[in-house]
Amino acid sequence: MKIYIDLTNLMTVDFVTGIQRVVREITVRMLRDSRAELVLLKYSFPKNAFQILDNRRFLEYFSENKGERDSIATSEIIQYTEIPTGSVFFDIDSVWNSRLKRSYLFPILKQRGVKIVTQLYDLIPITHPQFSHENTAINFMIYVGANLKYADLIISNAQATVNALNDLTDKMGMERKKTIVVPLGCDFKSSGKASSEDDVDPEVTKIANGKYILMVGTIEPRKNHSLVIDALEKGLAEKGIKAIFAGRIGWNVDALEKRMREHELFGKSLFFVEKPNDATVDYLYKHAFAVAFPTFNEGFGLPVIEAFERGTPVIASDIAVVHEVAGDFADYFDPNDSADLVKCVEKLVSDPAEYEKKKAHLKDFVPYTWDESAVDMLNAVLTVGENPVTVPDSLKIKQIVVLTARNDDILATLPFIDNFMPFITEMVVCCPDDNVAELKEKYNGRLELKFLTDSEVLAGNPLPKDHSTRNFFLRCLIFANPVIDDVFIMTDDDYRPLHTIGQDVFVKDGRYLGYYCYDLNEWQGTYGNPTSFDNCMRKSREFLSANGYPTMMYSSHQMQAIDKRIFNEMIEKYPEIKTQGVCEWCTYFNYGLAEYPDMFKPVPYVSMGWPGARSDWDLYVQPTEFIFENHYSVLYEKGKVFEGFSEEYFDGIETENLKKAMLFSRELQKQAEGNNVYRAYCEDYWLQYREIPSFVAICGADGNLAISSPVYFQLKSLCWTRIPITIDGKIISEIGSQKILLSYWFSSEAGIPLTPTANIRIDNSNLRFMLPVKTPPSGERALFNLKITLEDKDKVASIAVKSNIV
Amino acid sequence: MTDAKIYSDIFDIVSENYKKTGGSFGVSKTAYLHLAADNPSDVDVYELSKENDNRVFLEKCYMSFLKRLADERAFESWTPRFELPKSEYQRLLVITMIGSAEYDRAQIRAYNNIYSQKNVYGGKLETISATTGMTMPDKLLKLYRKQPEFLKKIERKIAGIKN
Repeated sequence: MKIYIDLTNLMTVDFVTGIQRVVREITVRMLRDSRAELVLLKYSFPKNAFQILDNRRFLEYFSENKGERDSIATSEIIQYTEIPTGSVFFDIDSVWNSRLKRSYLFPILKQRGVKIVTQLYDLIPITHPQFSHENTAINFMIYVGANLKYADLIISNAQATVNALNDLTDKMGMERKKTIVVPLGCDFKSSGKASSEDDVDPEVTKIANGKYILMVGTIEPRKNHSLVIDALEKGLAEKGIKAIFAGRIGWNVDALEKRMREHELFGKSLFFVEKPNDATVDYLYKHAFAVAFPTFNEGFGLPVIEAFERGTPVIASDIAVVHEVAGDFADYFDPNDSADLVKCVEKLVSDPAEYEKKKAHLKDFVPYTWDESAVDMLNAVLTVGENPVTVPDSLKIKQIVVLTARNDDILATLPFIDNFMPFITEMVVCCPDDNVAELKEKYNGRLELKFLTDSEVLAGNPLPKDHSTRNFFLRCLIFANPVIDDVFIMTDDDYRPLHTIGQDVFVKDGRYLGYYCYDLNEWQGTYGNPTSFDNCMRKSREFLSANGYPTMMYSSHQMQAIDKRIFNEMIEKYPEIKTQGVCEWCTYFNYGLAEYPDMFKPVPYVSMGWPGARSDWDLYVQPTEFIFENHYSVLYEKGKVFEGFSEEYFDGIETENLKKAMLFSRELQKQAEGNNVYRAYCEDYWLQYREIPSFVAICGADGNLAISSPVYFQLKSLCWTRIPITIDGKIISEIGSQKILLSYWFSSEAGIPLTPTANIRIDNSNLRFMLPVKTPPSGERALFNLKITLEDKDKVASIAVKSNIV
Repeated sequence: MTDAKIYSDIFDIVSENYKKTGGSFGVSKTAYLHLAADNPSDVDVYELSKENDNRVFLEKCYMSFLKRLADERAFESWTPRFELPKSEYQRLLVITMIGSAEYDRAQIRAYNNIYSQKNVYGGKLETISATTGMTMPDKLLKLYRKQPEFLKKIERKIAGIKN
């Protein structure tokens, strides 16, 4: 199993303490464990993607102290969408302050069936926000929110944190998360970075003598260092007890730092060892009279364990998490009462026999090691892939179901299914009653035809008028019919296989393959004027988002396998969508992937002829192979891509289909080249102007119309390129126009038109869209002319942008 | 449960926890939800401009353009302008953001910038020069960007711009 870990924070900060130390210890050990294939990542913000780290160099640097940290990151980049289905994304680093918010990343990973496991250290910024910087609290809240929604498993180091998490989900009315407790290790220097007594700071050896109580960790309000200073003042100093704070200066401690440094006991009974190395910390632990842990709240309490390991007694806050970690090995005091702390220390000082007994008792303490933590954590991560509910190997699909009102089309498609889908033995044709006789008469292939006529299916229900609503509604009724197998192939009358295929095109390795062509959030549809299909995609996106499902677009105009039990379960759960005009493919596959993540795998679509024309919409994924044809007769017309090829089945058509696939692929390639030129131009433009070029029709402060445009353009010749257009909503709300006309054309610099003028009327509900523009031949210094007219307000704005056509 | 509802509920719970200790959030819930829906690299200025509250707009701009919360200095400098008309205030702030060195370093990509000063025209097509090209502010900006950092610093000092 591949496990992806984002180590951006570890790779960026200049210290390895606290969480960074945990990340280092665990990652190094997981890398050495052969049960998992780790892919270590670092976020690259210029690319908005992950950089892959070199595992060997990571190990050398973090466990052998060899090499440079800067050389660990490779130049290899992986996009979020490239993290494969079935793999695990394991968040162990302190990623909440990362620019790459989990609220952005996790939905993308979930769309692709990636499992998410998070190591949650604590919930302090949620339960005790006063102890966190506001920036941290806000970021942490988003991080926790994303995990509550998307994580498959949460690993915590203490039951107290799990309890706090359960309290949170209970309060929010959410289902409790799957959790597991894995304590942290504490064997110091264990990652292999050996340090000797020689590394101990010599200044520290001068102060670390006599009886001193030690506090290790970042100085921050939550750790409650003030209490120890109070205790010094209240008698401990007088009794010859010293206090040593070892750590870094953290957040919101200006007053405390001032108090400490300016205190009359500072340098006498109170000492601060800033950023000590591992050897110095080790020395301090070993020589301390006791380790103090007066924290108000904690995720685990590593210093407690580290002290025990060295046989040093601990006096700690009387809070649940410390009790969980330290049990009866520590003495406890009220973290709000310095007198109680004084009493606790005095008790140890006044009874040397009891003190020695306590130290002896610590020998019974069995600490968790980093090796154990890492093994347990990896076991936990691997459990998310255990006992998956997959599609049984015994599944044999034999049925194909088609909705058709056009006999000619299905009769032309049937021979392709007859000849290229040998595993199919039966077709259920859902059609108007009048079509049945002709189909029976004219079809003489090998498939057994079964019919579900409109009258049987509808049983008196009226048929919705809208095309998409009708399709979904009919499918709901059809799938409830007992004639339909549990698992079947769903198709339309114009989806044709291009060559012989097996069931593995639809079900592979225990998963149904869901062929997607877009992300619904990115779907722009038909510029300016949405069609029934566009509205269907919008409604599907709204339904899926509102119910917390992924939003990939599976309406890929090709055959797909459907498990009607899952489809019907979805309808039972959301009966209202029957007549809402949503897309059957998008709803089913996104629902299936969310509810049965081990039964589905999203894969890029493999349908030739989708899109039918390059001007229709821009590619989101580029198909790498074609298995089906979405048959459009118009593509066989003169001058079109399939001119001269047969639309009918004949023996040996596979060879012709291969040629067609190459031609169509070339068409898509042209589109991709055009996009590449445009992307490169956007990149250059951004470097120069720090903006991505776009056109915006603006309503100025004076109520006039204006257009904000890029300074220049660069486009590929004779190519469809989509340029972003935004119409300021104030044109409707403030100027009051209801009739917006957009015209555009290319002209020479002298104003001679190079392309015909295209006019589109803007739908007032669709004010942001990608305008497809066909460029003139290359070698021209052209102007791109854009004119926006408010026909009902007698206002016009126009712009001409110098364009390089390459 | 939708993502927005989850983030919203957490905000309410944490606000309540803050209140118990006598504290409160300095960040508005709207701005926090904006951050939860944040794209790590791109800023849609048009979408941002739909915010009607100038204070919240300031918070959102800092989150989107600079990837951090607006600090005390930001509020000190922009609060006196909260009374400006929305579009004027927004234009000023967006231009400042995009022109800042911090935005440059963050390598954020602003798009649909309705406040762009790059190339804005109105009126009739006939009146537009066929030699549409770089405007004077663009030229100055290009010159400024080419300068070494210390010269930029001196210029900012002379202009009284706090960096």
